[in-house]
Amino acid sequence: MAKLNSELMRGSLDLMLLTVLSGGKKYGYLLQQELRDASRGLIDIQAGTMYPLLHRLEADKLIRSSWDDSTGRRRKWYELTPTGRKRLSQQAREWHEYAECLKNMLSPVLEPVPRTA
Amino acid sequence: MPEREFELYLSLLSRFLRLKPAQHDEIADELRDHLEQRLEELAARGLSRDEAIRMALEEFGDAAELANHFKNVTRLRKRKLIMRYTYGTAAALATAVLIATGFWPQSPHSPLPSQGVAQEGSGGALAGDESDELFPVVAEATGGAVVRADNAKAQVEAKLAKPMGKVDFNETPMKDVLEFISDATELDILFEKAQANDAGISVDQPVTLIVRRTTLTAKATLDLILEPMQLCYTIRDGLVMVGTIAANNEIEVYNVRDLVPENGGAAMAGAQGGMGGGGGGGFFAVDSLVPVIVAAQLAQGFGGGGAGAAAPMASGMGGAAMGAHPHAASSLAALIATTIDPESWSDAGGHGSIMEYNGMLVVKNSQPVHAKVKKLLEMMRESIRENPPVGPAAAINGGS
Repeated sequence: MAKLNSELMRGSLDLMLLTVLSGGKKYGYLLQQELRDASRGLIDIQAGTMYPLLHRLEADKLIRSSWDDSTGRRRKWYELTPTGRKRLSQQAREWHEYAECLKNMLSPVLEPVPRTA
Repeated sequence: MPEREFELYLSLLSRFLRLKPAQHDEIADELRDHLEQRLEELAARGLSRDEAIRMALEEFGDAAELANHFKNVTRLRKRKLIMRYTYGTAAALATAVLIATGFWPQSPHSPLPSQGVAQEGSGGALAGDESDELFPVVAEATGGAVVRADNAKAQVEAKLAKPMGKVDFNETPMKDVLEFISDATELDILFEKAQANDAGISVDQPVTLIVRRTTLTAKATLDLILEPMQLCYTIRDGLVMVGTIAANNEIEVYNVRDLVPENGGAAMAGAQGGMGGGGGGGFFAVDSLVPVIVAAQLAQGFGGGGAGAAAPMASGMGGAAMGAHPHAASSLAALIATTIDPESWSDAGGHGSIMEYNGMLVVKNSQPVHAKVKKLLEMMRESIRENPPVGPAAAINGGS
């Protein structure tokens, strides 16, 4: 299912969820879809991975949840907390630096144009 | 759209999670909402209902694994609580250890319990690719997938064979004890409430077991705790289920051709030749320990309906059975019935039975008793290897 190496993704899933949530309140299913769309289909996080992660982020007070019954269906919505927002911008910066650094390091290896599989 | 499959999955998940009812209701509501939306989407894409349900559930992974993911959130807090139980008490020294070693005094260096098992599997966590194994436990009786089930069982056994560290339970409620063992082994342990209630035991039953000088395996710990209450554990589909001994008898078949006294040497050769020539059984005939393991797998093969595994074995056994000594095997049966948990056999009013058939022992009893039978047979074989060829006959006659 995972279109990117899941080992590579593991460390950054938190960050991805927080990023999508920075666009506003979402429930799990929607969050999953928007993450897929935002990554142009490359990142398809499994429900079985996402929900425990959301619960952990909530326990860490980076996001908070609320229930909404107004649509006739009991639904749990998640949104960023101020702490979550702070953590997101800090981690985004760290990841950006890390990615830049890795990109520079890898560029010599990538020079002889990667073969198409 | 209430889906029975979803409800089963969610109730299984709830059982694994052991959270407060309000908490797991919330998780169940959330996941149900997701599953229903996903089901609608898949149905809209033209998948059949069954297909869609299967796929939606697969995306969650098996319930045990999902529960583990969830539990990691709360694990740290719970561990602290249990530490208070386990380290907060001062108490007496360990007395009960090494259940299985006393049976065969002739064996000069009998292996410690569980050492053999400890070397068996890799002990990896419930892998994601086994994801559909748990769901069918509830939905239907276990059928098919014998090889995978055996794999899961070997993995569980390997985890149970790992040392637990010092054990210090002092009037600790059963549920916390099991939770502690569950955390230490990373195994899911289910307590069969209905069965235990029949035996007058609840999840709050206080448990006292203090072992400071010996490092117990999780298996030995469970045995020491459960046996006095007439409880036992069984391994099913990657789970450890705790229930009553009475309700958890299993049938296993032990090839004891090599242990019959007369023509000991010839019999052993016969057994190996029979196995090797038995058609598709060539790889079994490695040493005299192998038949026991194979026999145990055979029993599981029959139990699980695995025709593929059963066929070559049956022929292997046919070869091995030739020239067996019924009398010797039944005296071995008598030996087992008198040395291993005597009160568990039907003669003594228990639920177990043991019968000899063509050099095979057909044993019906709980898994802990099976483990002891295996151990005993291993010890006998070891002592045969050390003192061939008169050893076995003398030993068996001396023992019965």
